[in-house]
Amino acid sequence: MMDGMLPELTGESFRTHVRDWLAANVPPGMLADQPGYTTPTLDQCRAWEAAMHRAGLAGITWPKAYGGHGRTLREHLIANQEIGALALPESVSSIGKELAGPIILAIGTEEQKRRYLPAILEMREMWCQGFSEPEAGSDLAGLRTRAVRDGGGWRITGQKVWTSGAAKAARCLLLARTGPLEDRHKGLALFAVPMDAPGIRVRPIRQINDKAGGFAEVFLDDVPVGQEDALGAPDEGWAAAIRVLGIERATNRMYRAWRFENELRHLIAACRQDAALMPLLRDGAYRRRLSDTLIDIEIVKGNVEPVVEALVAGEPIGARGSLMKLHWSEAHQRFASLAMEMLSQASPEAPPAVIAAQKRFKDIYLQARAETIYAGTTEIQLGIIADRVLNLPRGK
Amino acid sequence: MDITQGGLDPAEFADSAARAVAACAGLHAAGIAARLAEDGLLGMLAPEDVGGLGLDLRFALPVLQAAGAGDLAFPLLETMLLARHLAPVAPAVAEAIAGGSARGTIAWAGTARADLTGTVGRAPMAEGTDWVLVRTPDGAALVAGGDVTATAMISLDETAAEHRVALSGANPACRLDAAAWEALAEEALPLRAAAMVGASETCLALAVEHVTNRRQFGKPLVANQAMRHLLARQKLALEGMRGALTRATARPGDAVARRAAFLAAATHAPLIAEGAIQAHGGMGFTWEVPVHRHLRRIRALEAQGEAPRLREALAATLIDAN
Repeated sequence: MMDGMLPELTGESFRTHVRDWLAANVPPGMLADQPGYTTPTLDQCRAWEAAMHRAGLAGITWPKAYGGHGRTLREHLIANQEIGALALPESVSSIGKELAGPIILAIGTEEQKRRYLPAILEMREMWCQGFSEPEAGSDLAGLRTRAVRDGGGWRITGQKVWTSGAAKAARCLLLARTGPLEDRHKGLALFAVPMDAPGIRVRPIRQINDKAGGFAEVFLDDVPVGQEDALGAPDEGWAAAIRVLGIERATNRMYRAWRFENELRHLIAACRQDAALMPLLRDGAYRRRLSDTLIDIEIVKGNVEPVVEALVAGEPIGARGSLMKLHWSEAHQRFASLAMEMLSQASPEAPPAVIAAQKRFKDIYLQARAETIYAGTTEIQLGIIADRVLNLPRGK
Repeated sequence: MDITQGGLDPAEFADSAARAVAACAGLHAAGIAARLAEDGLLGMLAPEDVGGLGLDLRFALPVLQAAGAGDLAFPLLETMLLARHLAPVAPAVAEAIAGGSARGTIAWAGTARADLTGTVGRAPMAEGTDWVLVRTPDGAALVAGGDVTATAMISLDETAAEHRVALSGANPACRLDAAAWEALAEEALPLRAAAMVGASETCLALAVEHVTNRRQFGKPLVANQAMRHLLARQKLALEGMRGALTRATARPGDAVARRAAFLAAATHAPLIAEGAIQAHGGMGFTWEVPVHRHLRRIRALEAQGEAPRLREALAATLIDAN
């Protein structure tokens, strides 16, 4: 169904559309909590996400001129609630959709928006994020990758690390320094570097969860980048990116709470299917931890919904994204530990559904280790909350 | 759509409630009742025909929050709910309670026998009260204060002391059926959460003030990252409570959201208050630093809301109904 056919849908009628479309179109074997699940390939994920976009379930708030659907963040929330309720795979293009795209919308030229944005939504181009470096992790101001003027364009030299999906990406949202290292936050510029440019070498890094297409090192040796791929002016681009990032931290992967709930229900359903796990559901200590998880999930929901209303009303949300990210990531880790502990008690003769749940929750448990590290570690978030939410004085 | 609520914003009650709570400092229960009734706060949830404002629960939340923040020595939550739920069955009593001329409370722990004998507990400020609502096997009954014996029970709360209420079998003034009692008890949950949010806000503000001003090793305590992160975690907990309560408020028919909001508060508010005592160091263990008063109140609210029973009820909803 093309977007043009549902211009009038908002609120609950939009929810009905999303729910019905998902029920009719999720490919067999794609739901991790259903029988017959197999880990989807990259190509299957791309095709699925492109289909979701065509049905109006991605690019919801982006302007129609750039391939989006021109709806409000409320519809974005509704779609995410429905997407989250199903055990669908994570987006293979979240850097493009939730980081590069919004930054381009904020600071890109008209020509850049038309060139980059539809390709992201149509899953023709995936992006990776080139911020972190060996000497600049949490402290981005220490980054050393240099961009120097070369005629009308730039030459970029340096090294990036923890670059997720670098091998499959068509472009890299890359942060580089145009002045001396002493300038710290000044002179940082953003680029949309084509990953097939000469001088780029990608070396995959094996992750603890052994995920295919995980993160990588990216080496840049005198890589030519045209001015048409520079995002905003030096300084300006970075400052705008920081503003966008503050909002993104609060709005990205908005389906989290509802996926979290899907995982909780999957765990309980799996326990019912094994004679050794069933008694755990009657055990007071496990019941307490399961209900604590449900309370955590209600908090995750309660944190995200007011942010949507605030943004729709045009109110600033400040550093609330740090509170949301910190709570969700730690709550999800607690839950992942609980799931591992419970499922580890399954009988050796557990049925296939329990084996499948063990596989899913092993992945979730390992992935959860990253959740308190990426997008600003727990320690960084605590610092942001102290500095910018509580406004504590420095006390020197 | 209720006409009286058109154009009113619950947040507008926050300031006037904070002023009223501040004005109650040092007053005895009867004086507090009169002062709060003046502002319409006791009857805000009661229908207009008993002198109430006929507002929905959302409007009571900022008021309870202010009461929690200001450590109000009055069973405000109980008063509001009595005025609301007694109106259909005992309008004269409801009107007197909403108007501040009579005082009432609710015994949250235990169930009286059908003949209204036995002992119930956790009734805030039952001593000298005019009315006590007690739970019965088929709902609840309103008994006169003169027909019961209220004695202090072992409880942390020093602000609105909890009493044990011994019943004498006297005839009740009225009864609530099981559905009415259940509705009242469920409505109490977000109101308690609001009171705990308010008390936690005050505890965190006191902790921030202390670590900002107190100097050790040649610098304020707030210069230490350990202290900054402790306070950041308290803020995280506070905003989580608030988020769950906001969600429950927006979904009045959602029992899971409502119970989770209370349980989120019951989980996090004690930790915030205990953490605020820790942040105060030795000062935190003194009577004059008021954090302990809030901690006492929070623990009483947690017990009155039967947090352990509700946790199991939430688990049953999640696990057994799945």
